[in-house]
This record gives sequence, structure tokens and C-alpha cells, in this order.
Amino acid sequence: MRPIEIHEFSTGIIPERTDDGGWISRGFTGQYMNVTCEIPPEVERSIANKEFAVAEGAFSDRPTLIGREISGHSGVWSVIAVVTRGKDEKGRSASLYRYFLTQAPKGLESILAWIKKEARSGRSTTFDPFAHKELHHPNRSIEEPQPISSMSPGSLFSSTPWITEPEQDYEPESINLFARSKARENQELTAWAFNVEALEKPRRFQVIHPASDLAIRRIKQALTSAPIAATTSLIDEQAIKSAIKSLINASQVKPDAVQVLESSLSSVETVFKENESETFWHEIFDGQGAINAQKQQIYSPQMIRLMTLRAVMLPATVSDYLKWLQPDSGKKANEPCETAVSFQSQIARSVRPNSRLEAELKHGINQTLESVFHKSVSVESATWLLDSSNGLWSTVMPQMVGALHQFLASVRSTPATEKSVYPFKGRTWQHIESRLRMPVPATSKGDPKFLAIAELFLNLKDPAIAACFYQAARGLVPPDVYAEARGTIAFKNGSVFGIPLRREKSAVDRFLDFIGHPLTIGMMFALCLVAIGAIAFRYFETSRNQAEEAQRTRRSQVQPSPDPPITGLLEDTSLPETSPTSEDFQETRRVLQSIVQEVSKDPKIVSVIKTSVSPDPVQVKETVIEALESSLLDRDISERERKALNYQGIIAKNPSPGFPEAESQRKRWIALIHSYQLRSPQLKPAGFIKEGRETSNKLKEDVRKRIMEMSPQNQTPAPESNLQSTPPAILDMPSQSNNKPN
Amino acid sequence: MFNQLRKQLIPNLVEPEATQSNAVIRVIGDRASGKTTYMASLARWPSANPTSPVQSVSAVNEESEELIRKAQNVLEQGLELEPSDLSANAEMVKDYSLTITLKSQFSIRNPRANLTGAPVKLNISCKDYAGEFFSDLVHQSGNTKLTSYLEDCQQATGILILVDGSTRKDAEYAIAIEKFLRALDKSGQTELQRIALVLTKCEQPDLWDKRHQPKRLANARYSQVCSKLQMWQSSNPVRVDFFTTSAFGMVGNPFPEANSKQLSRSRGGVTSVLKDPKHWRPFGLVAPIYWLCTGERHQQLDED
Repeated sequence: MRPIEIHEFSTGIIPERTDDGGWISRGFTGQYMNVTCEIPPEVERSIANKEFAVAEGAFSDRPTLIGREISGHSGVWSVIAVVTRGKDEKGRSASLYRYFLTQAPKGLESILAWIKKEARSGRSTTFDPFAHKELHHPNRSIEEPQPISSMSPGSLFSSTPWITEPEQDYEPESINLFARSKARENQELTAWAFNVEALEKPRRFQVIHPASDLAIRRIKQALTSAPIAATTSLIDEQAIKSAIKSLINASQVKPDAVQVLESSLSSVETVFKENESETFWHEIFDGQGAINAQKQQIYSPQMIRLMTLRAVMLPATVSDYLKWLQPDSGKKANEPCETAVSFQSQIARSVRPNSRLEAELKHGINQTLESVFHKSVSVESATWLLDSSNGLWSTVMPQMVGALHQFLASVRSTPATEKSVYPFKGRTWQHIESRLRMPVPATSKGDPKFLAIAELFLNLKDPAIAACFYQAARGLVPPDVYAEARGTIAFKNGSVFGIPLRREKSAVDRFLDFIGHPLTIGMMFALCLVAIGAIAFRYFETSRNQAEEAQRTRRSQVQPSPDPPITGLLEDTSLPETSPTSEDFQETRRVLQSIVQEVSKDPKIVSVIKTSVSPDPVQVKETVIEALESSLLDRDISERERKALNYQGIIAKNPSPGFPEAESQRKRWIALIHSYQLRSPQLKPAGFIKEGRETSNKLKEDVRKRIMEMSPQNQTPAPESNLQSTPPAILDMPSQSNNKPN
Repeated sequence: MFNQLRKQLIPNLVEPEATQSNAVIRVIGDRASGKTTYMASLARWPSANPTSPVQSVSAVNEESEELIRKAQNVLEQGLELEPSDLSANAEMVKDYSLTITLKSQFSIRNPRANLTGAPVKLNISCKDYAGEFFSDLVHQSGNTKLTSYLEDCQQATGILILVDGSTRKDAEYAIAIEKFLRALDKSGQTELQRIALVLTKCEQPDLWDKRHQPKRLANARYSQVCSKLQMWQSSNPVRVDFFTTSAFGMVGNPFPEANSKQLSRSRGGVTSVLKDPKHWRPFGLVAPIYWLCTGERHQQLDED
């Protein structure tokens, strides 16, 4: 038999011999040692993807064997890793790997047969830093490998991975055969683990033979929490993670890393179904912290770059990105947004025309428009994303707008029965189309759902699209938008893209309409008539007043008064310079009431009144009040004047609040008292009366005197001077008719 | 107390948005200086002191979640963590993203707390380089691996140099640090603002007593390292400060002793494992992070 070549390489350490002939590690070298061949890249990637890795903190004293077939450009490699524990000079344990690999057919079986032969010869195949292996000097084996046969040892065998019972004393060869059998069934490459305590990627094996019961628990736990990426070896998960890390950690974007992500988009799609692809990407980004950044509101530059990348690679997350970043927060200095734009602009340089990434960006724009339509994203946020001068999505926006123009132009030009070509996926566009197909009268009510899109395109400075959506949203297009849309090539005969528009009226239009309305004209005419009437009335009224004034002037010239004339209590009587306070007036009221009260109780007065006026006792008080008013006026008061003064309403009791006449009547009393005080030089012309002061005493005496003069024995002919003088009028009307003879 | 009073006085007070400070950190240090144990203890944040200003430490990415699992499955089992493998490329080094939230507190000793009482969030992304990187600085130069690591360091805003407080390698570390800083300077423009020299394993009795005088302790143990760092500070726009930490802390009251079981002790330092996981309370882990993020020392964190 022709010998087969079995290459090998081991974890690189700096070994040091110990006194007992063993060795310790003085640290890792970061490179493989005892290498007999150029390590195939696919094998290196498999190792980087932890397909041979045993988990830290769990190890067995016996070596662990990991067997796996790896497909690559140079064919299939069969690799078996022998994992053992080593110690460093500090006493710390580490897992050390010795890999054997061959391209021979039935490679795994050949390596196992060779390992067995080496063991029989007393040569160790576990990790040995002093093994002195040289490049291009592989191990050679002429051992006949175990024949491959189908084996199905039990019902549990059907589950993948099949975890054997540790008590079952299987040999690695049996485990290999079980795995081969399952691999053939599943059309996969063989992968198995023998005597393991824990594995980093347990899903990537057909058969696992655990070292202990505890190992079963660990492996099963790892299986339940394994992400979808763990199920396949066909995707270089670590390369994707490294590319993401490289992009989020460096302030400068490496184009290579962007290309790795772009090519992964296609490879992930070929391996997984659509939903699984999304799950895969979500798991990748969440693994780097996206979910926590979103939940815990972490805005470190790394997380901002990560969330931006996620929005690029997973367009469905664009709305979450915008909600998280809050470009609409209104903050003047929004540092996270600035970091995001700076990163976007760097990524934009690596996006090639018509590339897969460009397609993803377009999907992202569609998602944004849908989110704006459904109001899960604000117009301000969407504007920020699509209109940032250095942004990423804004670079493909012109193409998207072009597609949207085409779509809008086709809405009215193609019959409804024909299938429309929508610019983007999603039901929203069908909804938009059916709305825009409606005749203008039907859209006059408007549908506010379209308003946000209209506002967005207005912000994006595309008045033609904005006008379409305003028409759909409100049934009317705002005049300024209409005017802007009119300046675009899409506008023709009151329509944009063939979609008829109704222009909303501006304030000037509405005013002109109002002016021109027949009802307005009628109302204006009526108003003019009313105005003319009012002017005429005012004219006649003024003329009459002037005539009366002239008459009064004439009268006053004929009958001069010794006192200041008080022809009208409000206009003509002189009010004191300082208006009495409300307290002063209240006291005045009390003084007047007490004068009336006191005089009414005087038996002499009562007797005079009963004899000369009326025997009715009710008339006593009334006569005293009249005498009081006449004394103040210095002549007999007329009934009309009494009503104007309203003693009962103003003096006898407090006027009710809001009584409209109260203020003028109160002023009449003040003017009256002021005139009374003016007539007597010894009195202070204050317009009010204080208790026990001169005015009070004099007035009381005058009232008494006036009543006593009513007594028949005191009735004497009026003095001549009295006949000559005209009493002052207190109302601006002829008063002579009411004058009683003194 | 102030918070309670504030809440009583203003019951409908809306909690203000947290102030966020970020740092991109690279942890460097000799092999077995306690770098991964420091990071794992920080991520795990066990038995937090109720009076501690730290409200929570949460893992942001899967690598930091894995770090927590390591703390649970290895450290809490009284085992040692495996030595971190030296990746051929710095991009492959695990990058731990953590968010540390500090309670909103009013205190004149807490410089960042403002009158609104907003909590402070420290977002860190921290790469824990294998110790071999540090030793390679002394013995090797110009290889591609080292170049890749130095390029990676240019992104860092803060460097956490961890040294085992019980080692006697002052001269060796001084050379390594000087080479590192020179190489970093040569490699191009860096974002570096602060370098924290952190003495680890301060649960050791001779270190514990002086834990509140980190600068004095560092000067006493690592005079050459300190002098190199201070010289660097004087000629570069980079600030340097000193800290003491213990990933395992102390246990017992009123006579506390190190919560660690010593496995070995040599010139190269002490190796130990956690003794009592139930009473695991690390000391001083957040203080250097706070300083690297904010540029200010938090007195309560120093006393933590």
C-alpha cells in the first residue's frame, strides 16, 4: 500500500524543560509550531470559527479528539485535533492543540489508524512542544483504515448532534463511523467530538461523545442557547465579526472590511432562508452589542458605528436606528448624530454603484418611507437620514427619487387593470397608488396618512412629489407648494405626473373671495346704511343740544345766579377738586340719615308737619327728607329733582352693586353738598359731611328751620329778593314749573 | 441622603438623562499580572457594596457576556483562568464592551455629579492583550504582530497598565513601557489621552494597608516605571495616574484577610485563586475606569 501523508501543526508556545523531564510553557507565540505544511486557509478559518475549540474551564485528564472534514479550494481536508492540558510556569492550565490533517480518501479513518499505530509503538500523538517537526516532512502511514459502514446504534441517533452516553465505552473509531453515517444522511461533511467536557460550537457536530455526565449537561445547555449561525460551517462567522469589529473600533473605515460584509450578504442568503438570514444578522449585531446599545441607550462611538452598520445590513432596522439616534430631538449639538454622519460618509466611499450594499441602502430608504407613512418615524428624522449632505442613504436618494417619479407618472397613464411597477416593495405603495388613482372630487376629503410623506418630500426639496402627496393627504395643495410644483417639468395643465391638483386658497385669495361674495356685498350695503343713519342721528342730536345750550346760556344771562350754577348735576354742578372717598361718602350717608332720624323724632317738628302737611305719620319722615334736600339746594326741590337724587336708593341704603345709576346719583349728592358748603364761607367745601362737624350741625339747623317755616304762623310773603332770584336748576330741563312759592 | 431628600422635596421629579462618558481602553501588562481576572471581576461585579457609588456593571457584547461566564465557571469555582492566547492579529483580540452605571449622587466629593443628579454611565470598550505582547516589547521589535498591536493601540483613548503589586520587575517593566510608548509615538497619530498604572493583587497584606496611597505605593514598588511615565507625561499631552486594585478583595470582619488562596509566590509575583466566592467583593476596579473615561478621580470609588 502506498503511504499516505499526514501533516501536523500545534499551538505555538515557548516551552521549557523541567527537572522531571517534562515541560512547561513560558507563554504563547501567537504562531503555530511543529508545522509540516502550509496550513490550508480553510482549516485556519475553521479553527478561527472555534470548530475545534473546547470551552475554557472544563477539561478532562484524557485527551479530547475532535475530528472534522473541511472543504476548501484545494479539496477536502480531514483533520483531527488532539487536545490536552499543559501548564505554564505560573501553574496555569491551558488547552493545547495538536492538529493532524490529510487529503487522503477516508482521511479521518487513516489518521485514527495511524494514531493507534503510534500509540502501539509507544509514540505519543498528544501535544509535544519538543516533537521537532519540520516543514514538508509529514508523517507517513501505511496503516489500513477501518472500513466505512453504516451504523445506527439507537433511537436517539436520529437527533443531531447525537450525544452519546459517557458510560458507553466507545472508541474514537466508532464515534467516527456514527458521525459518517449521519453525515451521509444529512449530506454534510463529517464532524465528531470524542471525550469532551465542553465545546464552543456543539451544533457543528453530528456525534459528540461526552467525557462525563457534567459534560452532557454543559453541552445540552450550550445547544439550547446556540445561535442560528452555530448551525452551519458554510459561513465564516468569525470573518464577519472581525470585519464588524474592525469597522466599529477604528476611526478610519477599512474598505476591505466593508467588502467582507458585502460578500457575506450573498453567502448568508444562499445558506439560509429569508427569515433565517435576518435572524443570522440580528444575532451577529446583537452579539456585538446592538440590542444592548438600543435598550440601554448607549451612545459610545463604537455603538453608534455598530448601529449604523446594522441599519445598512439590516434595512428593517432603519426605523429603530432613527428612533435610537433621535436626530429629531431638537438638540443643537447632537454628538451621536455627528459621529453617525461621519461614519456614514466613510462607508459611502466604499459603496460601489449597482452593488449589493447599494441595494440594501435602497431597501433602507423604502423602509424609512414606510415608517414615515405609518408614523413610526418622524419627518425630521427621515429628513436627517435622507438629506444629510455627507450621509450614506442620501447618496442613493437621487436614484430613488427618479424611480418614484417614474412610478407617479405611471399611476394615471396606465389603466388600473394593468399591474403597476412599484418603486419599492410593500403594501404601502399599492395603497398609495390606489389613492392617487382616485378622481379629484373623491380625494377632496383628504387622507391625513399621506401628509407626513408630503412634508418629507417638501423637506427633501421635491415639490412635485410633495404636491402629489398633499393632494392625496388634504385634497388640496398648499399655495406655496403648488407654486413650487408649477416650476417643475412634472407640472402640466394643473397636474403633476398627470395627477390633477387642487390649489388651496391663500389668505389673499380668501379675502378677495370674501369681498366678491354677494352676501358680503349685501352686508356691506346694510352696514353703509346703518353708518349713514348713525351719522345723521348724531348730527341731529348735536344740533338739538347746541340749541338747548344756547337757550340755557341765554337764560343764565337773563337770571344771574349768586352761586355757581349747577344746571346739570353731572355736567354743571361743581364737584370738589378732590373726589371724596367711598368711606367719606359712607359717613356722609350716616350723617344725613341721623339728621333725618333726629329731626323726624323732634315733637315740635312732628307737630308742625302734622298740622301743616299731613296728619299721616308716614309723611313726617318724607317731609324731613324733602326739607333736607331743599336745604341743600337752598330752595324747594321739585319731584323730578328728588327722583334724580334718589334719597331712598343712595342715602337710606347702600345701592346694590352694579346699579347703573348709583355712581351718577352719588356724584349728584356730592355736588349738592359741595354747592351747599360753597354757599357758607364757614364750611369747608369738601363735598362730604363728617359727623359732628359744622356742615352737619348747620344742615340740621337749616332742615329744622325750613320745616318750622312751614308752620302757618311763620307763613309770611316771600321776600322780594327771593322773587327776583331764580333758583338754580339741578336738571338740564326747565325747572320753573315745579318751583313752589316760598 | 441627598437623593432621598431630593425625592421627598420634589416627588414628581423626572429622573434626568444619564451623562455618558466613553473610553476605548487597552489593557496591557505582564503575563499573569491579573488582566483577565481584573476584567472578569469587573464584568461579574459580585457582592456589590450597597454604599458603593456603582449602581451596575452590564455586559454589552457577547465577549463580555462570555467573560461573566468565565468568572462564574472558573473564578467562582476557585479555579484559575487560562492564560489568554496570543492572537496573531490584534483585530482578533477579544474586545469587552461594558457599561458601568454610577448612582446619581450629590456629593462635593463626587465631581461629575451635577445639580440635576443625573447618573453617570461609563461606556468602555476594552481589549485585554495577552501578556506575551508586553514581554515581546522587551525582547522583540518590528515584527508584524507587534506592529498590528501598536496600530490597534492608536485607537485607544486610555491605556490600563496592570502590574502585579507583589512582583520585583521594576527595571524590566520600565524598559517595556518606555519601548511601548516610543513605538506608539512612532506608529502615528494616536487618540491616547490617559495612562493608568494599576497595581493589582492588592489583597496581599503588605499592599492592602497602603491601598489608599496608590501614588506612594507605585513609587515605592515601581520607581523606574513611575519615573518613565511621569517623564512621558511632561513631554506629551497625556496624563498619568496611579491606582490600586484587588480582583478578589478581602473577607472577614473585624479582622479582614485576603479572599484568596495563594498557589505560588516568586519574584514574578503571586498566583492565587478565589477563596470564598460567597463573600467576593473586589476593591478599586472601577476607579481607574472612571478616571480613564472622565479624567477626574472619584474619591468614593477610590475608597470603595
